[in-house]
Amino acid sequence: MLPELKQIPEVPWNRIAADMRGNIRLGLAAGECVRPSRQAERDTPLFSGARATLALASVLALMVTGLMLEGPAPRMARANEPMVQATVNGIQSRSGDQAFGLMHSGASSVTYTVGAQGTLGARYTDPETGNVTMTKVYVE
Amino acid sequence: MWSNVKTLTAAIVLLGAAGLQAQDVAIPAGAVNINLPDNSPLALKSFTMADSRASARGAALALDLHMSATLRNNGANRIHGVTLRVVAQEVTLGGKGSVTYPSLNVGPGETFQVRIDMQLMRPSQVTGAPLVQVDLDGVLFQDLSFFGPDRLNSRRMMTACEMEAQRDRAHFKRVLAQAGRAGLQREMLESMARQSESSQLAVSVKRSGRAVTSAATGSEHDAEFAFLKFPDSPVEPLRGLARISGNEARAPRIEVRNRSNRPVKYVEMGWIVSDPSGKQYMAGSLPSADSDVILPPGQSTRLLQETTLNFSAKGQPVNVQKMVGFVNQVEFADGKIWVPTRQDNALLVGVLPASAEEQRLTDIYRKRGIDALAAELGKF
Repeated sequence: MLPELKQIPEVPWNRIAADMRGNIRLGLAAGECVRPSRQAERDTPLFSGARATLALASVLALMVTGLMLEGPAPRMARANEPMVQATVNGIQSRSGDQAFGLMHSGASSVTYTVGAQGTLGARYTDPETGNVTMTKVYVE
Repeated sequence: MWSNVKTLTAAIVLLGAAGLQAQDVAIPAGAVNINLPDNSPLALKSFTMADSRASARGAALALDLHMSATLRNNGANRIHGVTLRVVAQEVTLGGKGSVTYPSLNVGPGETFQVRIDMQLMRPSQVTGAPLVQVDLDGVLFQDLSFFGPDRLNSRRMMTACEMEAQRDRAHFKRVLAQAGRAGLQREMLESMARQSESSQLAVSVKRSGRAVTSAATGSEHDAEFAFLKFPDSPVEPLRGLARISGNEARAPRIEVRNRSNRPVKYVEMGWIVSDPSGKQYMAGSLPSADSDVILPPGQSTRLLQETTLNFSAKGQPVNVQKMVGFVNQVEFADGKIWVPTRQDNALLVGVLPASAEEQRLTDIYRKRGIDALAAELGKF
């Protein structure tokens, strides 16, 4: 026998075992009191209808936001068609994101001429040179 | 001419602009190539591109070019018109225009100034080529002779302008001779009033069919042209129609007959539209095709264009109620041009814009007075 065991006083093992058994039973009883019933668990499932709807709506909102941020709004195909048109201070030939404009800034009286073959012209007196000037752009 | 070094510098500067968001940089003169043939009657005396800027806008590059040049008449004839062809990197991107200076009166050895203001919007990629090429398309002389490649039919356009100019100068000179400066002054005031009263349409043109963005609501239908016939016109309109839907007109076509005894190679019809209130607007012109088709005397042909015109005024769509056509210009096979008389045009007062020369003369009167106008008329 080890010398340390000789120093342990006399222990009433039978009484301590009875106390431990009682404490365990008390803990089990207390656990039964605070544990939710099985019926309540069935009433609040992890994916209830409201939660699923909320989750789907969030995903949908995320997707829509992503589309709006990452890609341009869908345009009508016709918006990219070549065309000629008058702008604030000039005439312009435009196709998609490319534009070619001849400007007449400062001209007070501008006469526009349209050619059904696909041209747009502007006529004005150049305020700096005094020359009558005629500009024309073409549908490419 | 312009060195490759300058072109490369321009490309580097523009590449820099593409990389600098929301900042702009000056465009050097090397970005523009001005091409005058060696035997040209015009010589470039000076050229500047002050205040020309390039700025990055998102993924695109916006170019604002202000070109000013002084040209000298190196020929022996007086110059009455010049057309320059302006092309933005023709092969890769497209974008073509022309700038015409009609009603000039530049003697041998004299100089005149021209200005070209341009705006280009394009993807940021920049090649080593110049951004803009300016070529001489044609020079019209006092005797109606012509120099130039005429790629844009500038000979016909400037000759027609010169015919109108001669017609209008003769009219005002006659008024001056018969009614003195007071009579000429009355004519000027009436012309200025007509110019200010005429209503203009905003018209966009595209080659294809109906526009999705049109304000057109009704179904498309064929509408027939009515015709205003000038007694001395060498060409007579017979019938015509266009597809109309609200404020859009598509695929106009007019049949005409050559009633002169000379072959005709070009006809241009004027096109007037009326809105539901009866107000008339000059909508545009319907030219024959550019191909050199000769119309013999007594024969008829059809002018047609597969384009769509969209009309609006002051931001509001103008629905087309009626259409009127008239012969606006005829070119004979020998290159002679017919234009309507002032008496013909009087039938379209308030609709037809003043000629370029009448616009120039009224501008002289407005800025410098009746004495300066009389002196100007005396130069021709």
